[in-house]
Parts: sequence; C-alpha cells; structure tokens
Amino acid sequence: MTSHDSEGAPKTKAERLADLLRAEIQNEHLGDGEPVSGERATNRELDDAIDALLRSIEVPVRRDFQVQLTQRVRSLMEVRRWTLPQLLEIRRAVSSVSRAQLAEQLKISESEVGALETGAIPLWKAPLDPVGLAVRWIKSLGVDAAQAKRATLRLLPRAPAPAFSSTASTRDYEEAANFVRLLTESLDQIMNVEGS
Amino acid sequence: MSQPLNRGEWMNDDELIQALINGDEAAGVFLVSRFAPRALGYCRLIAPDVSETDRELLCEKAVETAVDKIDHFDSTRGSFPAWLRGILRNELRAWRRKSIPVTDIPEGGISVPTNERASDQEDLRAEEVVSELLGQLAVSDQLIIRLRDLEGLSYGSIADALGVNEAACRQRHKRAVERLKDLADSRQTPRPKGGSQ
Repeated sequence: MTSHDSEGAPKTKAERLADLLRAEIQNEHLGDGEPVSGERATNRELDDAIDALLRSIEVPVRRDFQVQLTQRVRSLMEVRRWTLPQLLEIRRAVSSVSRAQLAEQLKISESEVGALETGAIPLWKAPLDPVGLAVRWIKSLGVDAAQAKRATLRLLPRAPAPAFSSTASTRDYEEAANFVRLLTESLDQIMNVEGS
Repeated sequence: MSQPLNRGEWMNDDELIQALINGDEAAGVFLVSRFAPRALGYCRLIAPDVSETDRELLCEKAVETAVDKIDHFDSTRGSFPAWLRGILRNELRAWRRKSIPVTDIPEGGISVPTNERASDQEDLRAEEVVSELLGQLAVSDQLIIRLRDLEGLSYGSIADALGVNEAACRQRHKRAVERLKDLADSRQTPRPKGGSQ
C-alpha cells in the first residue's frame, strides 16, 4: 500500500483507512477475512475516511435548486442575526396580544393568525401583499415599523420591486411564508431555552 | 504578485462551519455549493425509489435543518458531512412515514407486537453497548459496518465507492458482523446456575 497519492503528496489518515479497507476486500478470497492491520482510529477519523470514500458520489445539481437553497440558507442566517433581546421582546409582545387583537390589527381572520403563528400560512389563498403582510405582522408585535420593514426586505429575496406588487407570484408568497415560518421557529426556540 | 485565494478553496469544513456559526453570509453560499451536490448524490444512493424532485426537497430540508441547528454540531464527535448525512436519513425516514399509502395496508396486515417495547433508556443502553463493541473491532470492520448499516448504502454502492467487487464487499461485511456478534456473545454475563431458562 502506498503512503503517497498519485501526485506524491502524503496520504491523509482518512485516505489510508480507505485504502486499508479496499485492500482487505480485494484480498478477501485469499484468507479467512481476518483484518490484517492493527491500526486504530477515532470516530472522527472513521467519519473522515467515509467522507473521503463518498466524495465520488457528488452529482451536479440544478441551477434553480442551488439558487433556491442558497436563498433559504441566507434567510435562515438572517434570522439567526436577530439578537436574543430582540427575539425575547417580540415573544413578549406576542404573549400580550390576543389572537383576536392580532387579527384585527392585521385585517385578517383569526384562523389566518393561527396559521401565521404555526408557520403554516396559506398566504397564496389570501389577497395580501407578502411584504405588506410581513411588515404588518412584525409591526403588530411591537417592533418599530421602519425596523420591521428593513428586516422584512432583508429577509425576503432580493427580487425586483415589481415582483411584490399585486402581481406577485406564488413563489413570492411562499418566500414570505418561509420568512415568517423561520422567524416563528426562532421565537419557539428562544421560548424553549427560556423555559428550560 | 500572487493571486488572492478564493475563500471556497482555502476554507476547510471546520473553518466553514465556524464561519457559519459566526453569521458570515458567504459561508452559507459556500455551504450550499460544497455540500448540496454530495447530499443529493448520497440521497440518490439511499433512496433510489424516490423521485428526483422529492430527493431535492429532502436535501433542502436537511441543509436547512443543519444550518438551523448548527450550534449543536460538535466536530469532536464526528465530521460535518457525516452529521448532514444523518440529518438527511432522518428526513428520509420522516418522509417515508408520511408517504405510506394507507389504502395499501391489507386487512390484518399489521401484526401486534407481543413483547413490550423496550424503553428509550433501554434503547440508549443498547446503542451504547453496540457502539462500544464496534470500537473494539478492527478499523476496516468498523468502516464496512458503518457504510452498510449506518450510512445505509447497498453493497453495489459500497463496491463502486471502493472500486472493488460487490460479492467481496458482501462477504467482508458478513464476516465483520460475525465478529461483532462474537464480541457481543463473549460479553454476555454467564447465567446463574439453577436460574430459569
């Protein structure tokens, strides 16, 4: 077994472990299958060896898929930037507002508020502008309107303004729903931490 | 003058994860470009019966979950790709549970378990024991068992990844499992004399 790769660089432990397994399998028919090496490895080193073996399974991904996933990851990271005091403040505001009051403030039905709270928002069924709804929702939680608008526009995809007009697509509504879902999940996580 | 390094080239996995935890937006972009192709490839191997659209959805959910729970990732316990594959397997299990068509279950087709289900604590103990026993096996035995039983790869996929014969893979795995069973048997405490069978 060589201790260097094809370009002459020393092999990593992960690569050596993968080689070891490969060699033992290739020699399987020669003996009784007893492992020949006394090498030891940590869990992390075993993981790395498997990662090295599985690197060959990479497949090209669709451009649309990659763009959409990147946007979702960006949104998630944006939500992570909300500070703990900000999130706690929002959560307190949520606690002090009843569903009926929130529904009145948002000019939507109570059941839609319920859907907002759980993140399962059928926005595409409601004749609402996603940015407007998100801004109104955050504003109703006691956050300054300008701050709410900035946060919303940051969280929503950086699409050209016309996309958020009355002709907004289903995708725009889905993105807005995704934003609210992420924020709601963050709030829930904070509450779990707070309650533990 | 030397060329500036592309961040995607110099950043290893651990640095990338730390950047992600620190809120570096570029890290999110690199995360997707680095791991989405691997996650999708892995998903094709473990879920060949699932449509490509659903596999993309599963990968999307797994990456989202990984980013969301990134603070819980512990690099001393394993690598990030292994952690992501674990999340993906959980997403696949959840998806399969949801996707079971109820109408396909034949009348009387569900067997009622006769024994009481082991408690979570017993499950945890069993996991610890298996994990401890696995650690006593040779490295190559541990690798083949992990690839087949933890990562859920078929013998064909393992053979492809290693560039070896599928039958030899099957045989090597069988022997590794036998050695694990031997270890488990030798570990069992002897029954007290006169005890019930």
